[in-house]
Amino acid sequence: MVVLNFTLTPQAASKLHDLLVCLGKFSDTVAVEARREKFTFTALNSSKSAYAAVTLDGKLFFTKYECIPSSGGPDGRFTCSMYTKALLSVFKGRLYDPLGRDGAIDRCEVSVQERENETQCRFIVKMVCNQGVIKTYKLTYEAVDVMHALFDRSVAKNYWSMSSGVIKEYIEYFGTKTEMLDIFAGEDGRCVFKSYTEKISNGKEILKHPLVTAVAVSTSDFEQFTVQAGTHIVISVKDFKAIVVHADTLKTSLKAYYSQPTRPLQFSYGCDGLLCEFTLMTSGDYTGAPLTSTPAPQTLGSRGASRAPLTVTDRTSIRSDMPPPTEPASRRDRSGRLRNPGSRQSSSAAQEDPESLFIPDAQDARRREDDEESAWAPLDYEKEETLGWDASADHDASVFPTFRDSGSMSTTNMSDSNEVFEPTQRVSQIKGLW
Amino acid sequence: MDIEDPPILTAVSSSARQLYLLLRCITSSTKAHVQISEEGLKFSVDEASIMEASAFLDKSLFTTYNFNPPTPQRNPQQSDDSEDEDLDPPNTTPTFQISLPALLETLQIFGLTDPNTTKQSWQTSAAFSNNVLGMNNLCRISYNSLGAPLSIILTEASVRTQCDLTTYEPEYSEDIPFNRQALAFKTIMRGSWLHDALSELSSTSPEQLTMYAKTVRGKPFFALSSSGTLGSARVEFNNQPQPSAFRTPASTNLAAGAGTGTDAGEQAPTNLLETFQLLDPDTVLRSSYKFSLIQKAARAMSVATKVSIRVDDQGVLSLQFMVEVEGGASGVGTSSGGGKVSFIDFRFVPLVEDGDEEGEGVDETMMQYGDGSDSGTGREDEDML
Amino acid sequence: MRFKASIQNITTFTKLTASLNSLGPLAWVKLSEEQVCFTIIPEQGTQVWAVLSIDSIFRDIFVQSAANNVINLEVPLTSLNRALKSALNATSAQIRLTKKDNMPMLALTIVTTASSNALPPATANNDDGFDAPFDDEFGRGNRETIVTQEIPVRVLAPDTVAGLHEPQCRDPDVHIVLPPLMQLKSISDRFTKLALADTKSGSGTIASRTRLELAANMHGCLKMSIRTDALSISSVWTDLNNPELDPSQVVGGENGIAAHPSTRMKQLGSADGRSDEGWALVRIDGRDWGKVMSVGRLGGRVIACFCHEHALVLYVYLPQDDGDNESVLTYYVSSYSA
Repeated sequence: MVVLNFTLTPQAASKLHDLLVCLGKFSDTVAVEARREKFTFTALNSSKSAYAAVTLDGKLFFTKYECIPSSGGPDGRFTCSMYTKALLSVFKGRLYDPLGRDGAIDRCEVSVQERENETQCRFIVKMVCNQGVIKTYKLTYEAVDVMHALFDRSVAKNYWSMSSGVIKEYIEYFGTKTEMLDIFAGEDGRCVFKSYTEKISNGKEILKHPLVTAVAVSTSDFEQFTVQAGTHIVISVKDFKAIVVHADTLKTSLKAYYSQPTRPLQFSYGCDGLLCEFTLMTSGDYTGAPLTSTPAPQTLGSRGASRAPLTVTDRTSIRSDMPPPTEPASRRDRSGRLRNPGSRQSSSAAQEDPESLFIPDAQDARRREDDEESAWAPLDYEKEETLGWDASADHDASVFPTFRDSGSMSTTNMSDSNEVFEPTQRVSQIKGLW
Repeated sequence: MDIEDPPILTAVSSSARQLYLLLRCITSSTKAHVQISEEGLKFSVDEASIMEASAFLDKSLFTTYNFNPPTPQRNPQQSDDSEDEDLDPPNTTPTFQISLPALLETLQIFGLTDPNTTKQSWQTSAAFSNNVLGMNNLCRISYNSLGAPLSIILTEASVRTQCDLTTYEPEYSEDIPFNRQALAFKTIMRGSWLHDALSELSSTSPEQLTMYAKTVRGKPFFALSSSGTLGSARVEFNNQPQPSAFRTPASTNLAAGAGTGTDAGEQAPTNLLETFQLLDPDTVLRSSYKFSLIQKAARAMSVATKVSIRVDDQGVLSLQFMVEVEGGASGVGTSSGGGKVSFIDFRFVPLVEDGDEEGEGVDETMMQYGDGSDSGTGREDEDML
Repeated sequence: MRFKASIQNITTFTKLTASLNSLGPLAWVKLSEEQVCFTIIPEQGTQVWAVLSIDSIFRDIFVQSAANNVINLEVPLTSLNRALKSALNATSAQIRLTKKDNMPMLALTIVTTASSNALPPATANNDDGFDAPFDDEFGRGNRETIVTQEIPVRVLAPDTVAGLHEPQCRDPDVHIVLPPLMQLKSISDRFTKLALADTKSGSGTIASRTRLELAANMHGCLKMSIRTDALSISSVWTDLNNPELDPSQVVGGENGIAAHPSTRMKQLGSADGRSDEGWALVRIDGRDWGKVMSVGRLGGRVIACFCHEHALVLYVYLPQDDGDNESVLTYYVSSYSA
């Protein structure tokens, strides 16, 4: 049985909320990996084009942190997977009340109850509030193995760093429905962030085409900017927005590392014992074929992975794949063996895959309504009056994915997701590989 | 209707917002029963006979309140005793139904006033100083004769709005019996605590809410719990043993109505549970209710200063909310000094227990007592005054 | 075909596009050196014909085309509005017609300087040794950012628009200056909501349920009402202004005014709004009316012309107009029959 107990200050619990909100934009589930010294949340999006890891330092981030994995000695770990929404229903917004008003939490104690019978495994969160209120949540979790994407910064020759607050201003210019972001290092001392969508060019449909927005920034506005002039690198706007918005909650600088299109890019930021790393698949020829949904093989890049004692992510188990963190162990191992780590063809497979990776988050965009403007907008007659009760969408229990508390959730649920993504994903890649 | 007959009701309020805030606490169904009496207006709704809610608009909320009972026969002893309302012939305390959503929409007609109008001087006069949402307008409610519409007239600057609400025949249904003489459990706490607890529990999207009350080493313990597909949640309330202010609940608060309301000022920071009575302190009280119904009281919880939580020997739950209302009618004598209070009542029929819950460590079933049944109706504010 | 202009008044232009967008997704925009016209003709509901003097939004305009230097475009308003919003804090903004991949588009070029609240943070918290090797001593440049927004458009041939004509309407029975639109909108929105809430279980189509009655008299009164099974509600405004007709604008001058329907209506009704006589009434859809009221954000004076049981025409005047180059938005609302 694992021993895992930790205590959070209200501020740290609030940061947990912020990071879960961010991870929730990538995946419905987050994987947890607890080691003796640190605690990591990871998330992989459904198209496997984006992998996020948030590492919390045992000493710096927590008030108290104790993790004794049941096996593996000093390198042992406890891993599991949970629904992001379930965690968010516990780690709600505004957990930290600087004024310490009635009902504000005093501390948050988390422990894991591991049992042989998976239906009795619980992730227990206890919010101790002032004045004698104690809120206890017992969340079901699922034991899974956790994988990490590898990223070799030593081959990422291009890097830049910029205040997240400044970038946040840029992303606000982007049209609401755009899908892609091209980051272009010009020869004229400017870097251009361009959001756009693949063309749909027939008849009147043209007018429904989202805005193309280009934000040209002087490279001197970056804290650092070392990018080979002429480099285009294309990622998902939605991912970029999620990352920038989260980085801005920490008021920190966002750093980007990348080599070339179709090779992964990594964003990194963090402070106070919290380190966020997002590894994203890229494309570069944005006038050409749409981005592909085949990040897995090429994401880690054969060279980086195989030579990779240098990799920054020294904590990772060395794999050159980015399988879903929640994939059942048996299946993952198999696919891990199946995968050819040195596949060079993968990047061409990437180009050919007709499935676009990136799905615009129209809902997210629509939420960004101007308050003043909305008064003049035609009334939404269906809308409830605001004053009142649990209006936060984050807490909307009805949108929770449901699963039965029977221990079979993992297989059913995950095989579902495999059904959805696997065919396009694997088949196309494997064609390229063999 | 003879023109000479005075209208049955003419009531004027200087704050439509005040009436709105109280009435929206019970808004759950489309139609509400309205009962007009000498003391005020009672609005009540019910849901499939397993939940009922009522709000009482005391006549002191109005600057003018003229009630002329309809002519037929008036029971002379009726006027002061609201407990006996139901025994009187219905036509002396006129009762009818109206559309509650329609009334609420009407009361907030000026919810979004134009900035240009709010700058006008008439609104800065003292009578309208509580202009929080720009909804403090003269609001006249009138009911001319039996069967007539209930008219709401709102006057603001150069706009006058009249709404005639169709009145429907009342549907008499049995009140949920609640035996105040045989309480299994009673506690009083701040409404916001309960509201917060309920919103925490709602994140598990539960079917039912279970309530526990027990005494642990002489200290009161009260908890609400629920579970859903993603896990379970429990909110506990403990009176913290802070040496300076702790007192044993049994010693001071056992007598019902013993000034707990006035204690609140001093005790609130230390004691979550102002009053705590268990009929049988040696057992654990456990009772479950349909979560979605309890949730209908959420608005009342969020605005209430205090809530009195009572469970009778049949497990029927009574939630009585004390809501402080802003200034309101000036010049009308108020008994409670500064702010006035109004009361919102909810009652819930318990769910039948089906075995105990996993992992909670509480396996006592509900306590059963005699077969007392007393139909307590009307206002029940005496518990907290 | 060339079009290029500096945007003089971003706020007005943004609010204008937002107001128009509530009535329809696409606008016919007619550009010329003298004026710019926006026309929305939705499949059903209210039409808008807006004529703006160039100065009210543009400066340094240049329009050139083979068709008398007039350019007709079909413009998606949501995109245009979104693009303009990003220019609200701009130091300058230019718009021009261009082509990209052979597709016409309006390109909006915005120059901004970043706001001070987004200055780079101190580097103290950096976690992984990626600290800046050089310091801020060179400054961060002037922090001037150039944003380009490309709005796809369609160029309309002169024949395509030749068949579009502004509606014609008989002389109105009553003309009146509307009360502040925010007030009118909030009340009509409530009315519409009441009607929708009440008849969820009721009968009739949604459009028939949300039918508002709007009436006005020549004594400064406006009345709005709606009736459902559960209630009947009406709001009455008094002390509004019925502007005098200008003899130079009326056919027949003074004699024309004497014969004008509104002159007869002056003989009927009263200023307290309690009389049943003298009202000119239209029946309109509450939800459509809510969209029309969206023009209130422009803050202009609105004159409503009632043709009894026939139509309602609103003239919305832009607030900053000096009177010479008048900019006016005309809304045509048809009345439903009883």
